[in-house]
Amino acid sequence: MSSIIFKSIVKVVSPILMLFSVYLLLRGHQLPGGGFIAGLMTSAGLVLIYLAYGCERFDWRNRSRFFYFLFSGGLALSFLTGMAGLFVGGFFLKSGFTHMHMPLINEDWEFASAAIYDIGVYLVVCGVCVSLMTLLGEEK
Amino acid sequence: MTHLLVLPVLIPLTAAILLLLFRFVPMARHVVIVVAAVSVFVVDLILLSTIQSEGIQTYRLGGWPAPFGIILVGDLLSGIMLVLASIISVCALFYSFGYLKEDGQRGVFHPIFFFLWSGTNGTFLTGDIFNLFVMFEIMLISIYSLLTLLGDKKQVEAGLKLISMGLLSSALFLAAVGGIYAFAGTLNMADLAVKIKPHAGHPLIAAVAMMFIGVFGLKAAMMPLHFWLPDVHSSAPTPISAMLSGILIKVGVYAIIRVFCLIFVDLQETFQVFILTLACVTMFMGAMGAVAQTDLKRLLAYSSVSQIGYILMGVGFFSVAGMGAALFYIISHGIIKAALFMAAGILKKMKGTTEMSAHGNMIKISPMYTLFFLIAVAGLGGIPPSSGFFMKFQVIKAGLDGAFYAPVAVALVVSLFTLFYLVQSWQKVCLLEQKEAPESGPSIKLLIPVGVLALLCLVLGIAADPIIQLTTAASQQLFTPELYIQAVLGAM
Repeated sequence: MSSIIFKSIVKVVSPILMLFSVYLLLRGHQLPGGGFIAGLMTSAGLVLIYLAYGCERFDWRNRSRFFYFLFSGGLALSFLTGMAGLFVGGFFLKSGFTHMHMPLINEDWEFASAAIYDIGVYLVVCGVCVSLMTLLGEEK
Repeated sequence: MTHLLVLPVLIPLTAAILLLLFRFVPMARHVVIVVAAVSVFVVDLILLSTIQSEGIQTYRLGGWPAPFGIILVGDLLSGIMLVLASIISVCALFYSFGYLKEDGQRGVFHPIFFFLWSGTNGTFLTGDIFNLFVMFEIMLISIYSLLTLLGDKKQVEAGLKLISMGLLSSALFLAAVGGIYAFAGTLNMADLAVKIKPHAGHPLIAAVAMMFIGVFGLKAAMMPLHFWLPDVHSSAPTPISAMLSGILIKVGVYAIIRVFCLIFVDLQETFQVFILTLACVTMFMGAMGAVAQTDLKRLLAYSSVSQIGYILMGVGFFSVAGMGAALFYIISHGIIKAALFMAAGILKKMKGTTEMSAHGNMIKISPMYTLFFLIAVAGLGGIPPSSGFFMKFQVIKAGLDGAFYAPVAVALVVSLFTLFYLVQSWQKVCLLEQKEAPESGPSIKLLIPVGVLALLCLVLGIAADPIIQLTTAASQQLFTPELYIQAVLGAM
């Protein structure tokens, strides 16, 4: 798999994939996109890197605990957003949003609690995909 | 606004996430497990008594009103199922500490177990048909991983069967939900009931109802769809077998009751003969399968198929008495079958197999074990003073009241077979001489939950009256769906 052509393509493609996934994550509140699809896209980028370079640049296997806590933490983050809805808004999973004026660019930005929930989902998907990949890619 | 109704879903979910985060800190994990298990149990009891005194409870997730948002609804049926689920789950959790040896196994087992519990509670509480699908998925995915956790060859094979079953039923469920959504334009069950009422004769509605019977029948192991159950229930780790047979196959029955007593009320008569016939076939074939088994866990798994037939028969009468009997049957069978599976698991721990020919003479090794096993056997066989007598008596009485003589005859014949295979297995394991004695008797950690469940079976039999009143009240509530609809949608 790890021919020079593949490696060179991955070098170009995976940063684009990840940037685009962040874009998808952030627009997901109002438009198509969101945590799940963005997480999948980021993991696709990571899988490409893993396929091309294996463990020569980054030791995936010994970082398995990091990815474990990535998805547990993401789950906790999403859950806490729901709980915040319970304590602040009066219902579990109640969401809210606020508009804030950004001083430098002079624009109104919308901040929604659903975005935090989405980031949690994003972390879960990334963590699970990478954990799966390293587990299945392991040589026994 | 009280948050009581969302707690049975929230507490296990919190516990599962905390257990994931504290995976490498055993002390913290034990605290979380104990606190969560006890609090879910207490919350379920409080919830049931609240529903009893104040009527049907509702909770709007995210604050969105019905029929747009997802509503949690707690009626008596949900309350009873929640309490049953928590009794069996607490016992299974306790049992799992003695059953799973290494700490590594428990570190994975317990978080997934709590996800399973959360999903099960969600199934009983949700008032939205699509959310029901989601909760089913949470349950199924947890079961896949719990089933194959120990990595035994048989378990992986059973896992494959379960996953094929799960995919098939999920696809069918989704198609059915799609069909009903295309027709009525809503997913809220109470709203569906209102929207479908004027079109009850429409062929699409009958088709969707049939698909729901297929999906839930697959989950409940109704006869032609029972093929996955014996393998899965017998090869799963014992605490999970107890959960599967005790509560999770009843989830399918619960869903059948829910859709037929709320959404497809007018189709009850159309499907009555169909459901009763399948119930009789299930009952009979399950018992035939059980008689032929030499492995105790497989025998119990077939027996679960057979007993589901009785429950479906009670449901299929579509009368207040029949439904009440079915609910009592669900409670009683859940407790007894969990006890029996846990008793079988003790044998597995002692000699590494549940083949009955490998065991014997348990009466000398552990008289307590023999006693608990006997109580459970008497319970499932329907011998007073155990709760089993009342569960069978009520179903048969409801059948005679409704003049369903053929199903009652089948039920009576099958109960003879039930008694036969259970007493025979008890005799083989407990009375017969054994060639080589095991190194040690059953551990006390494993015996306690079996004892608690056996005791509960006796208590349910001796003090059956309040429980029968409760199940009858739940059944009356089910046959006045207007109450449910009004609680969800408000005065319309």
